[in-house]
Parts: sequence; structure tokens; C-alpha cells
Amino acid sequence: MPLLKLFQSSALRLAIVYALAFSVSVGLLFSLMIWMVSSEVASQLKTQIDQDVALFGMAAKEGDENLFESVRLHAALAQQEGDAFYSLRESNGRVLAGQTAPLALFEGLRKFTVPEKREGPHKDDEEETFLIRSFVAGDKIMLVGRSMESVLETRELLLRSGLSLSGFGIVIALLGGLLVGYQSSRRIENITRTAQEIMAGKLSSRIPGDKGQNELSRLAQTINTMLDKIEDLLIGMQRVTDDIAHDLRTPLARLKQNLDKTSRNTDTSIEELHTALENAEIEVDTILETFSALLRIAQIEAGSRKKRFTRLDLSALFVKIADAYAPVAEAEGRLFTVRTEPEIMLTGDKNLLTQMLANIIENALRHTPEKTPIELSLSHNGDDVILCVSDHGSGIPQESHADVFKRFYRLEQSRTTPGSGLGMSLVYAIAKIHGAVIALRDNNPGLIVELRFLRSLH
Amino acid sequence: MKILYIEDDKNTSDYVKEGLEREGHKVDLAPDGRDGLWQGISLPYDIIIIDRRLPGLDGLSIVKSLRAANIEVPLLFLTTMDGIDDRVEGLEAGADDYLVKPFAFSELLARLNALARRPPVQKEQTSLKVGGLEMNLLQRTVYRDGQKINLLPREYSLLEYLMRNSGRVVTRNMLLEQVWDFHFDPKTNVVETHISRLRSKIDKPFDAQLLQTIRGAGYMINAAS
Repeated sequence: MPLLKLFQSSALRLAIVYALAFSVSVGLLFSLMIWMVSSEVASQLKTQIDQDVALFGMAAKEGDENLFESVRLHAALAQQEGDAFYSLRESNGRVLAGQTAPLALFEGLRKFTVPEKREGPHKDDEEETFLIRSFVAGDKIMLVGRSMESVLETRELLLRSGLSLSGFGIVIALLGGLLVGYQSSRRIENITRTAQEIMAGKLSSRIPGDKGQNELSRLAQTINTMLDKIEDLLIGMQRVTDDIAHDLRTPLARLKQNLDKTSRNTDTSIEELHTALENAEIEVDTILETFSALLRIAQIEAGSRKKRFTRLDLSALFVKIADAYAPVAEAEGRLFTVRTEPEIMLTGDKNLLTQMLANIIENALRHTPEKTPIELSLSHNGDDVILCVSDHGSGIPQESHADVFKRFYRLEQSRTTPGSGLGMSLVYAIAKIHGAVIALRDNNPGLIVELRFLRSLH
Repeated sequence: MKILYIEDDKNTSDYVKEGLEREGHKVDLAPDGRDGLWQGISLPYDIIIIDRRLPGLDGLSIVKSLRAANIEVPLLFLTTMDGIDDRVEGLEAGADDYLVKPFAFSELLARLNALARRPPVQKEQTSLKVGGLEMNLLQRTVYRDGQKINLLPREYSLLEYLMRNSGRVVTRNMLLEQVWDFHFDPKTNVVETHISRLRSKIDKPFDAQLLQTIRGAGYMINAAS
């Protein structure tokens, strides 16, 4: 993925927000620490100053000489170490011992910065800030102070580590965010690209392999499954459209020919005209019937009919339909046997089951020679319900068994029999929404259509 | 008969109006659902034919509204919506019959006649009589000229439906729907074979033929003239 895109990505924005949040919290934490440590060190300084004040107060009580000496000693030491400030002066401001500072008597504590360089081994160009207290010792004024360097150093140290921690944290957060973001972006980019390819007409395009279990992988897998399903449906639809175009062209062409012939023939009698019109009507009816069968199959396949499913007595329905066809079969000199077990219950759609069974029986009646027997049976097999329609016609070659349920499929031998080639597609669709498995078997000779309603689904 | 036809497709409504007027009926057309409902409520009709997809108000709502307003006039849906669910929905809404477009005019006529002259439901009616043919509805027995005729259950139902509609043409589709509950067109001659069997039992041994085939329309049972 180009770097530019990365910087436009939401991943980067997220990483920045994380980094900012991190540095703000580090900043707050360190401010608190600095404040706490500073005040702790400052209070230590105050304690030390107060101890000095007490010390020099006692020295002053033992006489001026003693105080002078003590201040001089301390000041000399402090000069070397640079950590304290002592100054003893007359009330008129003349310095008697220790360091010079333009300070008079004052209340409380005061910060004072010694500007000039100091002498001694403690070479240090930096100015030194002291926290100073003044007090009266006898008739003199005494200034006692302690270097604030430790406070400032601690503060600076904390500030520095705080800043570097923030900086480090920001870098880590940004890098981590970008890495994670880059990975998700790349995968989302894959999804986008696949979608664009599909929009451009490449229906077989899929999101590149991803076996993971996280949400993006699952999304990719789900989208791929969805695309498979859509592609299947589209291919099916494409095939049906082709079939419809092909299958309807024949009767339409025939219709046009007949109408053309009739209209060009000037000496047609009224009777002939009527016959031609009747024939045309029959052709049109066939075409309309094909359409409504297709629509019916589509409706059933959409599965919306399941909401009308009810508990019904399949045995009773079976007998009723068999009764409807028995006279038809007997009129053709067939032996028509019906075997059934009573009260086999099923959850389904009565109208659809009726049509399914009627279609199977009619297929047997129409595609086998007269006087050949047809057997119907409905029985339990273990937990399943088996419905069989067996004939003794010429059967269907094994290799065509799967094709029988395709729309518009017609066996060579039945091309001449009227029919749309949709009957068995409808049977298949109805069986499917009832959770029934349909199988064709050889009856040696003849065909057995077997429907197995799985008990687990009813 | 005075008929209201609520239909927005002028081609269809003109075709139906013309055909029904040739049969001697008076037909009012309403091309809009709302107007149609208003007309159906305010004017007395013998029958109302309703399309399902209509501008203004759909056919299903019209039927529900008419029934809610206690208007008992026979209602027939005439529509292209031919799913079995559509039919069930239509009948559940309160329509008396459901005919799918495209339709044969004779089919529409037969159904209108069956609906319009539907006698008020008589609970006490225990027998049907056409000429010398008599059906006892309680004992489920059939006699012709005093002679008992044995019928199979389906033959009995077929004859009952024909006798209840005696003097009127009953189409093949009406029989399939009412007697066998078949809402599709069988490819084999189910109706024809049953009629021929019935005829061999109720007509053949006797002089007068009661059960007639009306060519291009259907069947009719009628007292021999």
C-alpha cells in the first residue's frame, strides 16, 4: 500500500489519538511527581535552615566572638561546597563574616540568586540560588540559606525523564498503531479491491485467503461465502434466462408462422380462420403456462411459503390424489395400485404437496405406454417417510437422472410429448423446501421416483 | 346483473365490460382503488370484481374495508398475482373467489354466475333435486327415479357441486378447485374421466341426459327439458 494512503488512513488517525492520550497522561503523572518531590525537598531545606538558625542562635548566646568564628567556619565550608549561604552583618548592613548579599532583615523565607562567580575548588559558572532566612542574633543580623540546586536538579531530572518517556511512548504508540493499522488497512483494502473487481463485472473475484479467527478474517470469509452464493444464483439465473429464451422461441416462432400463413392466405374460410385462431390460442396458453410454472418455481425456491406450513395428514392427502388419478389410469387400461400406511403426519404446505404428487403421477401416466402398471406407495422406513411412484415404462438412463430436475430438461424420447420440461423442476423445488430427498431409481424396466421425508425435519 | 369492476388497466376493463354487457349485464368501471371502494359502499351492486394492484388503494384493502363495512355483496378477485399464497390471502381477506389473469372469458362468466346466484345459505337444506335425480345430504345417498346409485366418495362430491350449481355452467377449473383442491392445471384428463364415470352411473342407464358438456366452457347439470 502506498505510504500516502497510509497517512490518509483511519489507522494513522487512531494511532495519533492514542499517542496524544498517552503523552497527556504521562505529562499529568510527572507534573504531580515533580510537585510532590519538589515540595518534599523544599521542606527538607526549610528544616535544615531552621536547624542552622537554632545553631547560630545558640552560638550568639555564647558571645560575639564565638558567633563570628562559627559563621566564618561555616561560610568557608559553604563556599567550598556551594550548598549553603551564611552572612553576619551589623544592623547598618556592614558584613562581619560570611558572604555579601544586598539583603536587609525580612520576614519568612526568600529566594536569592548569587550572581557572580565564586572562588574555590567548586568551580561553577552557573549562578546559585539559595533559600534564605534572616534573623536577629544579639545586636547583629544573620542570614542563613541553603542551595536550592538539589530541588532544581530533581525537578529537571524528573522533567527530562518525563519528556523522554512521553517521546518514547509517542513513537511506540505511533509505530504500533501504524503497524496494526497497516495490517487492517491492507485487509480492508483487499475487500475494497475485490468489491471493485466485482462491480467491474469479474464475479469470480474473491478476497485473498485468510484463515484467521479475528473479526476481519471472519468478515472476509463471510463475504466470500456470500459471493459464492450470489455467483451460484446468478449463474443459475443466467442459465434459466437462456433456457427461457431458447424454449419460448420455438412456440413463438410456430405461432408467428401460423398467423403469417393464415393472414397471407386470402381465400381462407371462416372455419379455417377459427381453427387458426384456436390453435394460436393454444400456443399462447402453452407459453403463459411456462411462465407461470417458472414463477411458481421461483416463488417456492425463495422459501417464503414455509410460513404457510401446517401439520397435515400425508396419508389422507396421498389417498385423495391417488383417487383423482385412478380413473385416468384405469381408462388407459393400467393396473393402478395404491399402498399406504394410515395417519402419516407431516409439516408442510398442502397445496404444494398436492401439486408435487400430481406432477409425479402425471409424469408416470404421460411417459409410459398405456396398459403398463403404475404403483404408488407411502410408508415408514425407520424414522423416515418414503413415498414411491413406480412405473414400468422405458425408464430414464442412469446418466440423465441428475438432469431430470433441471428446468426445461426433456429426454430425447419425450420431445414429442407435450409438456414444458418444468414439471420435475417444480417437484424438486417443492421436495427441497419440505426437507425431502428425491431419488430416481431403475425399476428394471421403468422408473421409481422415491421421496424420502427425513423425520428429523418434521 | 349490476356489476362494479375496479381495475386500472383500461384494456382489460374494456374487454371485460364489453363481454359482460353482451351477456346483458350492466357494468360500472372504477379505475382507482379509493373511488372503487366509495362506489362499492354507496351503490347497490350484485357483484364486485376487483384487481389486486390498484392506484389509490390496493385490492386486498378494498375487500377488507367492504367486509368491515358489512357489505355482503359477492366479491371476485381478478388479478395477475397467481401465487398460492396470493390466493389464500385474497380469500382470507373476504373475497368469494379468485381468478387469475390471463383468463378465458367463459371462465369469468361461469364464476360470476355461480357467485351471483349463490342461494342464501340454508342450514336446513338436506337434499338436492335435479329432475329425477335426488341427493340426500344427510345419508349421502343418491337416487334417480327411485333407483339407488352407488357412488365413490369423490364422485359424490363432484355430483354434489354440480347439483348445487344446477342450471349453471361449471368450468373444469372450478371443479378442480372445489372437488379436488387442485390449484393448478393437470396435464391429464382428470376431470373428463371422472365426469365420464359419473355420467355412466347417473345418466347412461336412463333416458334423459342430465349432465351436459358445454363445449369450450364446462359442464352443467340440468333438469331434462
